[in-house]
Amino acid sequence: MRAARSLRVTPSLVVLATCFCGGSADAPATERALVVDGGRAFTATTDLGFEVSLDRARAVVASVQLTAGGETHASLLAPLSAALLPQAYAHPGHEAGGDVLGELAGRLVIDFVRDHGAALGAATLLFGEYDGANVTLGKANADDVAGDDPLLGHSFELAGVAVKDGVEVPFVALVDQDEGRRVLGAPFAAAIAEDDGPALGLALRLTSDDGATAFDGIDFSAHAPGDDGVVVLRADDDAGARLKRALQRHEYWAVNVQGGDES
Amino acid sequence: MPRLLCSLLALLLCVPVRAEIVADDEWASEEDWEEADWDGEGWTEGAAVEPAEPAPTDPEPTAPAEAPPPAARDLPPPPVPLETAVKARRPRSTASEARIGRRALARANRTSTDDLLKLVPGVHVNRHAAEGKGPQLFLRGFDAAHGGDVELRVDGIPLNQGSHVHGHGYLDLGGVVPEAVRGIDVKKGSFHLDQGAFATAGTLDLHLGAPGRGVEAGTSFGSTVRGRGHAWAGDGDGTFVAGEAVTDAGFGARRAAERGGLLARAQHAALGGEGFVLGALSGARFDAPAPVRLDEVEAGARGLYGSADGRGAGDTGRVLLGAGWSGRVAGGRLKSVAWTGASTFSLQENVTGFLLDPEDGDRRLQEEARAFAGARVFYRRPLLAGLTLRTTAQVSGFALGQRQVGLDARSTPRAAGSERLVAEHDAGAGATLGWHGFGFLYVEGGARADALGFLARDVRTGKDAAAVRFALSPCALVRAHVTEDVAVFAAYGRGFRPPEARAFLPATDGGVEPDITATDSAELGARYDPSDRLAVGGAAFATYVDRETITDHVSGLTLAQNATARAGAEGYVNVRPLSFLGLGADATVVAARFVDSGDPVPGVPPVLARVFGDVTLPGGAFVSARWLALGARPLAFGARVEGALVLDARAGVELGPLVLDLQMDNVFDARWAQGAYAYASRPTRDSATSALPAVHTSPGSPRVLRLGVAARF
Repeated sequence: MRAARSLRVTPSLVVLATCFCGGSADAPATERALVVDGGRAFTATTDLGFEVSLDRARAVVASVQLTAGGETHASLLAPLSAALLPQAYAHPGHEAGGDVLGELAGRLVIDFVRDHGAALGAATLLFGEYDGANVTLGKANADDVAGDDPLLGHSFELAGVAVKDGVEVPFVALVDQDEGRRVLGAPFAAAIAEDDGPALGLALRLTSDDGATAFDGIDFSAHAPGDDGVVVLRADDDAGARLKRALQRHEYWAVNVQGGDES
Repeated sequence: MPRLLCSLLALLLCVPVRAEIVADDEWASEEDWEEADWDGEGWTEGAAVEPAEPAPTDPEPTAPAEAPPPAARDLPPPPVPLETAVKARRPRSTASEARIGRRALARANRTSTDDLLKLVPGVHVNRHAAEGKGPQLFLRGFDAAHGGDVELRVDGIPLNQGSHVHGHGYLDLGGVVPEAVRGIDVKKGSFHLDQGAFATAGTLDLHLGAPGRGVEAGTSFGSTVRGRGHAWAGDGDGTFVAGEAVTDAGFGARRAAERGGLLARAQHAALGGEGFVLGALSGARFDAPAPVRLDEVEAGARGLYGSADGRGAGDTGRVLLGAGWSGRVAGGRLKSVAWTGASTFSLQENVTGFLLDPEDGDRRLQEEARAFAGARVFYRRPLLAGLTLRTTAQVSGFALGQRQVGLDARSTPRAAGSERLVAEHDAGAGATLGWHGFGFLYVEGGARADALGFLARDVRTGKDAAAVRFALSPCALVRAHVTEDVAVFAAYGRGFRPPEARAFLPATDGGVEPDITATDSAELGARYDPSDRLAVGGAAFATYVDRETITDHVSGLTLAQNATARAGAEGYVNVRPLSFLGLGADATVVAARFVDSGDPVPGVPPVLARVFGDVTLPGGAFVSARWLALGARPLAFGARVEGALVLDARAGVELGPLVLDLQMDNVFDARWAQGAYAYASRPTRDSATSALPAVHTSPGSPRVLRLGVAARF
């Protein structure tokens, strides 16, 4: 852990007095536990009237990065993190711009429904005002899951029931993302300024803030079920493609401060 | 006082006297350098010229050829016209205005003209590559990068290269042979009418002149396996030819350079005034080390003088032609300069290692070729008693083609990249009125307006963009002589930096609209110049930038930065207690912060101080020393880099026609970070992958020795 030091500005006289003292130092940082934030009902009502409930929502996450907008911004319409990362100006480090200031590296297979509260690891965060998160997706390999795991070779396994007009359609969706595909700009708002603090939770959401759902546009009843009565939505069909695009969008992800308030 | 003496002398001798006394306000802009009594022998800041010997005032009257008529014999002889030249120290226009003369330049440690900029009080120079690549400059709380906030001119010719592929406002002093720099005019802030684009922190005017009268050829060797040859021939004034050739293995890894430059200038009377033509030719090949991670240095994994990139290198070339004329026109003084030239630039570097591409690495290639031209006129004319009109007009432009592309592990360009054609034009004009009043007060105010046109084409997509931006730059200054030796100053001015042309060709949506960056600066100060042997002064300054737009060279987007404010103070003292001993010191403290967050502007040294001295020994030998104190610098994200104390020394002696010179940089071999940054990198494929920023440094030179010998005739 890097040496902790307040990021707040000290009076200029104090700065002057210490201007020749002390050595070089990386930015002060701390660690925060990152856990699965699954404490919500994985249900949603789609635009086609299906009430979707998930009993399994698994994803392969290669890394989680936490970002701060800093003193540089693009526009009100586009988050800076969608454009810049990683920073590489003509001379990196000149600007106090939007950058990755926190991260949890290491591949994870996360079940957002069943593993609520499970520890994912310790994320390192520089002191700062955070306003976003990036999630890097992967495909499950033999090191991630067992050989008979349906997630093997895929990025997401979403399983549940879609109900419309009293008709239940069990389904499983296997979604593929390109290895290293990044979800940029997921909401995360926190001011990290001290060593100790509440854990952070990584959440997968079915419904965005504007009411759209990840399953919008999917007509579950148009898919023929298999012998086991379960509809399988694959990556190579229209439903799978819709899900793939949806799950690349930051509206369906979030990092939340668990329990405490670090705003 | 000079006027009074002249008047008294004329009265006593009953002879007409023409006193060549320049009005107090005539140092307001650079053209006055040519009129100056400044002979380049003064030291930094406030040094005054030794008063010139007055002309004889009582020449023998000539006897008439024949005896005059008897009546005429009783008449006194007709008055003989006399000319008495009275030279006096001219007052500055602002408290921070400074002149660095030839003696200070000649006695400073230097490897190139870049090092001469270190003599400017408050300027920190970071050379993070070998000689030939432009340095990074800091001034008054600005990280000017490669010149984005410091306007630099040579004999009135602006050298900032707007929209440069490597850095906006890029400065390349190649071809400016250091021996030919006879002085540097320093104008901090943006308070003068003649300051143009990129003068947001200030303007440095380098003036060229013959290093001497005669011919000199010399060579020097350095402990970095350095060899330099130089030669010049000059008339002791403004006509000379000078050249240099350098090869240097550099200290540490990837700091080798080979470069050469040829500079020729001819000055002669013309059209009732004085004209000059100059030509400069330069070329350089330089290595470009990548800054090293501090944690790797501390862990012993890499040396401070190492490089995280083993293949960084570049080359530049330039041809520059200029001509100028100054003289009296219509009751005023006109100074004009025109220039044209072409330059090339190429750089291959990798500063982030394998962060973006874990397999092939993040190497990139930047290339550019440009042609440029321009002309500038400055005119000063007294109007009514006490009123002076100053006007200026400038047109300039350039056209360039540039390319930036990633390279794979075999240095083969990747498919992606950017290629652009750009043309920019700047037309500016302005005027000020100055007024002398009450015998001690001078007030000047006015404004300058610039219209900038941008044309850009993305060669890969065929997309074109065109835009026009306007900049209005008011300025005002006040000078009051409290006593003959004490003057107080106040100044306000607005500087501007144009956006990069590439900003009008965003690669993706989401950026802000490119716009002029305008800075509002103010300064209050005072100077005490009682004699040639003492000069003391100081100033408090402040600059506010409401919004900067910067171009991210990766995404191509124009980004806006939050407002910044800079406030500080600077002071200097120069004293020559004995005729052979000169001492001086200057210090600048500045707080540069983002207004909303209060966070510091990264990289800016909050304290920069120098103590220097020189001793002239019998026979013309000298010893000089300069001690730099650089305060700890804040970096992005709360990181910091430690301060430094560095001593340079130089000694020289003339033995007949031979000139021996010994320079030692960093006498105590301090290990220090000349430049520092905080950013993420992955130095090798095996390094841990982390997107978190870490402190990287470009080190200052270790102890280095250079011995030179020259023959002068």
